[in-house]
Amino acid sequence: MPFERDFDSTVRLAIMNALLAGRTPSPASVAQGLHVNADDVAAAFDRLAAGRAIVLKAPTRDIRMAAPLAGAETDFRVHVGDRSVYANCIWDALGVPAMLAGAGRPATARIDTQCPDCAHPLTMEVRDGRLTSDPSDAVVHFAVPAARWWTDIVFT
Amino acid sequence: MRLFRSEEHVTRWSNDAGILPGAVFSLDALWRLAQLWFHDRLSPLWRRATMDEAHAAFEQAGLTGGFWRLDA
Repeated sequence: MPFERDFDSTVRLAIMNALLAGRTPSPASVAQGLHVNADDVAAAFDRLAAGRAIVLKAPTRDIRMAAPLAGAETDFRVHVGDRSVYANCIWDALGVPAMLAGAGRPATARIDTQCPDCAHPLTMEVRDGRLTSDPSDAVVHFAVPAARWWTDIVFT
Repeated sequence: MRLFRSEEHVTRWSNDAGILPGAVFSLDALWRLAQLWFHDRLSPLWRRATMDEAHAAFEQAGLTGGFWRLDA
């Protein structure tokens, strides 16, 4: 259904922009912002979740993930301009400046996380499309093979 | 999907947690993948990547092998 696809896309972008602005989107708040019916937005949340565009905290419609953004605080904090947002994992943390750059928005970012082994702070910066990190030899670890990412996406 | 201080820290953490080591790779590779994966996420035309598109993105980022197969 083209209408549903367009509506769901509008709802998805409203979710993303709310999270980027530091707000927690709900069907009611998105509906208010778009001047549409909250039940229709709730149905769009469900379709977006079924299509894996977002992850909800079942059995609620609270946003857990709208990749690369997280719906709650995580170990991956991304500072962009004068705001901070949270990402779901290190891939998503780098995805925030990548997404902003792709949309032509300011994309200079600092990412803060910590080593899961020793809790040492790890910092990355993206500026003018270039990534630097401290320490410079930090490494990425994916524990779960790609074929099993959606078996438990929160753990992944 | 975490960042570690070094590969030695990955090994120690995996052993302590009883988790089999997965894939360890550079931040540069992940940055390449993040740009390929997320550049259009704020577009109204965005849709989930197909399996073939995902595999192509992994390969372009230099991430190859069975670990990166969605159909394994």
